[in-house]
Order: sequence, then C-alpha cells, then structure tokens
Amino acid sequence: MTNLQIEHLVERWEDRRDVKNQLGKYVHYLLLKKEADIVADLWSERDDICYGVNDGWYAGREAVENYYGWFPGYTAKVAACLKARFPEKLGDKSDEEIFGVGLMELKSISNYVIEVAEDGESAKAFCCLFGYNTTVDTRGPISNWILGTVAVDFVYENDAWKILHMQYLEDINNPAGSDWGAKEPKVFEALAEFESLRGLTPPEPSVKTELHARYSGTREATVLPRLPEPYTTFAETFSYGM
Amino acid sequence: MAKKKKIIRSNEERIIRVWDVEQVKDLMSRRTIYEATNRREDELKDLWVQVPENQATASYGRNWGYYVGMDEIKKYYVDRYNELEAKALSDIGKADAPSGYGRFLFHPLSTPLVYVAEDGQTAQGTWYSIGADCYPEAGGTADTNWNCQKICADFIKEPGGWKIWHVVFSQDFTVRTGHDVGELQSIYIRGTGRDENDFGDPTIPMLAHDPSYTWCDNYPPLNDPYETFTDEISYGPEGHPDYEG
Repeated sequence: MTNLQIEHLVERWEDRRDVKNQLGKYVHYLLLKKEADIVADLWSERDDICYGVNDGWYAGREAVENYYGWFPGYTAKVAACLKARFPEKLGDKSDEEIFGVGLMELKSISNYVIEVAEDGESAKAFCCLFGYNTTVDTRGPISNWILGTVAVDFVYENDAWKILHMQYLEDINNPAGSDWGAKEPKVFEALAEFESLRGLTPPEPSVKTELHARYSGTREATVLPRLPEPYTTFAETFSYGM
Repeated sequence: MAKKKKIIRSNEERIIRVWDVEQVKDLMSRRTIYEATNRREDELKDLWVQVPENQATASYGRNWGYYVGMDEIKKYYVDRYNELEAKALSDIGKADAPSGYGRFLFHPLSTPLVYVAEDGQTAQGTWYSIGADCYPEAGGTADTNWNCQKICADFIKEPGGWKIWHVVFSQDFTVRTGHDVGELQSIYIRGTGRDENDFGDPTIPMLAHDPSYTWCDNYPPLNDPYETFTDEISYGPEGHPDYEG
C-alpha cells in the first residue's frame, strides 16, 4: 500500500466520523430547540434541498426553511403558556431563559450505515432512531416514544459535510405508557389552562404523499429506504431526495 | 504485573485495523435492517460466512441454545420463520396477506465494543439493543413489545470481506408496550417465552442465557482484546461455560 492509498483510507475514515458528528449535531439541535439555526448551520446552501417525513416532502429551500422556522414561535408560545401556568417556578425568568421549557425532543440515532463517494464530494448515511418527543398542546405535555429511521444524502460544501436530502421516517410515535397495538389511540382530554396553544401545528409538507406508513397491526410490510452502497460519484447512485 | 508491551504497527497496518472495526460495525448495522425488512435469506447470503468450512461451524444462538451450520441456521431463521408466520397469519384470518404483514421487528444496535484479533483474521463484538417486536392480531390490533437484548458476535475475514460467523442474541426481556416490566415472571420457566417457542429445536439445546430476575447472567461475556481466535472465547456454543461437546 502506497502512502497515497493510506492517506486516502484515513481521509475516508475521517469523512465517516465527520458525517456521524453532523448527524449528532442535528439531534442535539433538536434537543436544544435550535431549529432556528438548523438550516443555516447544517444544511447545504443549495436550493434543491428537501426533507421527507411520513406524509410528504418539504421540497426546496423555502419549504425546508418554513418548516424549521415554525418551531421557534411554537417553543416561545409553549414557554409563555407554562410561565402563566407556573408563575411560582417561572415567573421571574426571562423569555430567553425559559425558551424550550416543557419540550424535550430526544431522537437519538445509532446503527449507522455510511458510504462516502470515492470522489469525496458526497456521502450517504442510514441510521436507526430511538427516542421520545415531549410536546405541549391543548392537552398539556404529552410524551411519545419514537422508533424509526433516518436516511441522508450529504454534500461536501465549504469544507464541511452538509445535509442535501433527509428522510425522517417514523414507525412508532405513540404515547409513553400506552399499548401501541390498541385499535384506538390513547385519548388525552384538552385542558383549559393550555387553551392558548390551540391550533399550533407545523406547516404541512409542500408535497403531500405517503412516504412511509407508521406501524400498525394492518401495515402491509416494513419498507425502509435502500441501504447505502459503495459508489464513486453521486450521479451514479440513488438519491434519498424526492 | 508487567504492563503488556504495545505492539508496534506500520501506518498501513493501523489504518487497515481501523477500517476493519468500521466494516464489522457496518455489517451488523446492515443486519438489523435486513431483519427489519424481512430480507432474511438475503442476509444469510450477503452478510454471513460463505467459505464452506466457516459455514459448517457458523452458529446462531439464543437463550435456548444454538443452531449450528448455515443449513440449520437457514432452516430456523428463514424456513421455520416463514412457516410460523404463514400459520400466524392464517390463525388471524389473514392467510392471503403478504409476508411481513403487521410485523415490526426492529432491533437497532448501540453501545458497540469491537476488537480485531492481533492476527487480523477475526473480530469480536458486543452490542446492546432496545427494540421492538410487533405482531398482528385478529381484528386489526397488534401484540407490541419492547425487546431488550445483548448481542455478541464473531466475525471472520473471508475473500469477500468481513462476514458474520457466530452470533448470539441474549435476550433479557420482552414486555408488552404499556405494561410494567415488574409484571413479568421473575423466574425463567422453560417453554413459556414466545420467542422460545418460535425458536423450535436448536442443534444444541441448552440454557445459554438465563434471564431470571433480569439479573446480570454474564453470558455472552464481554469481548476482550485477543491474539487469535480460539474455541474458548467463541460466541459459538464451544465458548459457553456449560457446553458439553
């Protein structure tokens, strides 16, 4: 093996490590309610970025920015609602200090399969997601277990790996402590003190389509995105984009 | 005790060993997805040993024993699984449903511990998995469960790259979602586990992992750095302390 070949292998290993680090950052941005910075910090500058979820695509830069851009307003309204509900605990704190209170979105990822293109310009990652999401709405705080997969195309841009396409697909998103197999989902009644949160929902995907069915006892099969395969350049492989 | 002398390796040897660990982790991650998407036969072809002498000694272990040899593994992991699934679908009035209907067997791996042997020919790894086992029921409901298990495996480098050689799924518990782990029976009773019944008659029946009281029965044991593969450290049946071959 020549020094050049050794150098190449080291570089490919570093690329995999950096891709994992970017995915780790993404998860922590969600946890810390830093959605306002996600697109600028972690996504590609290109206009053809896209983000896929179970029921469709946020296709293009504007749609992706609109999606993540919705969260800071929601997070602030939840904080204001909880401040009003618990003045003895939160009343003396500033809006900035309590930004994110009541919410906890921990979508830890593992089980990585990563391929970096031979040309070093792109990479593909597939991983499993296991976590939970505590949201607050008119029913108060609700915590759901989440199991699913994440499939990402990365592009090397400005000396860093950036997200070009991402599919975030949930199989399980069910209230903690509930039977996922029950025919009817667990029902939580609306609470008067959380009425100010009525009607707060993220923007709908810009392209509505069933990208991935969540698990049920009648789902036809577990169909997941294709696993990354070794490849030379992005044009010769499949895309996780729309 | 004298400190073990560190082996001096060339940069080439070092980067190859770094990649070996990457490839072993990649292999097991792919296995998770093959299983989840019901590509069991493909898994055995793509990810498991292909060299005949390795195929003869390959093993698939669970709490209740080991299947040994790729033919036996396929009979259990593919053929028997398919038969049981078809019967289960028929029992709920869905005989015409496709394979995979209403199922979600999802065992993502985390907490990897991987060592490549000093001779570079084999590797050993340990993972833990918190996952889900979900099955369809009559009337559209489902039997959904958490599944917690330790997974250990031996890998061997073949002409086609790293392959799975021996694997053992050491299940600590499964519990229906929405239920308390404390509801589970404390003491292991042979023949009462759903997975155990599915497991059928292994080539080497034995209590490989005792999940009673969810105690820390240290089988399979954590892998340590090692020089070369031996039966004593195998995650096949030969490495089990109670093996009576």
